[in-house]
Amino acid sequence: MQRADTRPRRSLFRWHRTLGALAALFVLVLAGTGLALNHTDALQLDRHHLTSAWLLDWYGVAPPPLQRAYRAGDHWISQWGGRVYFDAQPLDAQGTLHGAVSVHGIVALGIGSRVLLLTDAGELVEGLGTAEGVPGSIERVGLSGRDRLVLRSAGDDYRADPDLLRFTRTAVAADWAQPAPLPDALRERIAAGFRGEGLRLERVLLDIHSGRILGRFGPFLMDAAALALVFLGTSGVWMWARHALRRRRRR
Amino acid sequence: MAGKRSWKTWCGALLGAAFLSVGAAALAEEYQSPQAFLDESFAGRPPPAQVLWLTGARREAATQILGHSPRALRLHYWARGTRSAWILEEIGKERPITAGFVVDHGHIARMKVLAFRESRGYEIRYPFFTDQFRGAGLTDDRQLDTRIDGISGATLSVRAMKRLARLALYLSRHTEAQDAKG
Repeated sequence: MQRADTRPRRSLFRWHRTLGALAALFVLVLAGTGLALNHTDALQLDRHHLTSAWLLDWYGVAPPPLQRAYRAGDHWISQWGGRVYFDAQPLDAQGTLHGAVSVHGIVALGIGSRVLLLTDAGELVEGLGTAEGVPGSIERVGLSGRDRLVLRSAGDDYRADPDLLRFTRTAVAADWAQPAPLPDALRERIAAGFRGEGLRLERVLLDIHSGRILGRFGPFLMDAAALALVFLGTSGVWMWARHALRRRRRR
Repeated sequence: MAGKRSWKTWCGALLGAAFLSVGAAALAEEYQSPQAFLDESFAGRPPPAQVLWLTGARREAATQILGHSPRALRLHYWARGTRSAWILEEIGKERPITAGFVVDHGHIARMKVLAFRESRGYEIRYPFFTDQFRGAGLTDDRQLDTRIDGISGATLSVRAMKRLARLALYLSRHTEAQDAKG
C-alpha cells in the first residue's frame, strides 16, 4: 500500500533531480546572460568589444583567402576574395585583379575590364574603360620599356600613351607583372582591418542567451533548457505543495 | 475543359514571360557602351580624348555640385568646337549609374543613361525622362535652369542624374575656357 502510494512521488522526484542535473549548466547560462542583458545600459554592454581571434573566427569575421598580390613600386596591390587593397587600404573596385605596375609615380592596376590609376597615396586619379581604348577583358598588365603601360587581352597587346589617356593596339615587348608573396606585416594589417573593432559584448551575450552561438540547433537546446526550467519549477511547487499538505494532515 | 485549361496555361505563360522581361530589364546593367555613345554623339568620328583635372577651385565647385568630393582627380572628355561629351558616374542609392552628356553652347544637347545597376529606379533611362534635360543650362548658382520632373520610386536616381547634368554643364565651361586660352 505504502509502496504504491509513494511510487509516483519518487518518480517525480527522480525526474526533478535528473532533469535538474542535466539542465543545470544551461539554466545557469540562461539566467546569467539574462541578468546581464537586463542591465545592458548600466553595464555598457554595447560599448565593450571582444577581439579574441578564436571568437571572431567562430563568427566568421575573418578575411577571405588572399588570392593574389602584386608589387607596384613601393606599394602592394592585393586581392582578398572580392576585395582589392592598396597596401592596407581597401579600394572601391570590383572584378578580378590582373596585375599592377608603377609608372611615372602612378600605380596602374588592371581589374575586371578597367584600369585604375592611383596616386602614391592611393587616391584615385581615374578609372579607364572601353571609351579610353581599354580592351574588354584584361589578361595581363605590364610595362614596355619601363615607362609605358601595356595591357594584354585576347592575345593582343595595348599600349597607353605617356599621359595614360588612351590605349592603342600594338605589338610590344613587355615585362608583365607577376604575383608575389605579400609581406607578413601587411597581411596582418589587412586581416586586422578586416576584423575591425571586434564583436559587441551585447551581441555575443544575446547569442549565448538564445543559443544561436551554437549554430542552427543552438536555439533548440536553449528551448529545451527553458522547458526543463518550467518543469523544474512546476514539479518543485507540486512536491512542496504535497509535502505541506501531508504535514498539515499529520497535525 | 481541355480548351479552357490550355487558354489559362497560355495566359499564364505570357504573363510569366512579361514579368521575366520586365525583371530582366530591371536587372540589366549596360544599355550602351561609352564608345557607342561617343560615336553617336559625334556622327561616328569622336575627337581624341582630353583630360580635365579636378583640382583646386574646380574640385571645390564639383564637390558643391555633387554634395561630396569627386572620386577621381581627373576626367576624360571629348570636345570638338562648342560641343563636348562627358561620361560621368554617380551613385543613386547604393550602386553607380553611368550617364553620358553632350553639351553644346552651354546647354545639354543630349543625355543618356549608359549603365544602371540598382534594383529600382531604372525608369530614368527612358526618353520621357532624359528628354527633359535637352536645352537645360546652368544658373549662376550652379543649378539647372530647367525644371526636371521626378519619377515616383526613382527619387535618388533622378537626383543623381540632375547632379551629373549640373556637373557636365559646369565642366564644359572650363573646357571652353581652356580651349579659348590654348
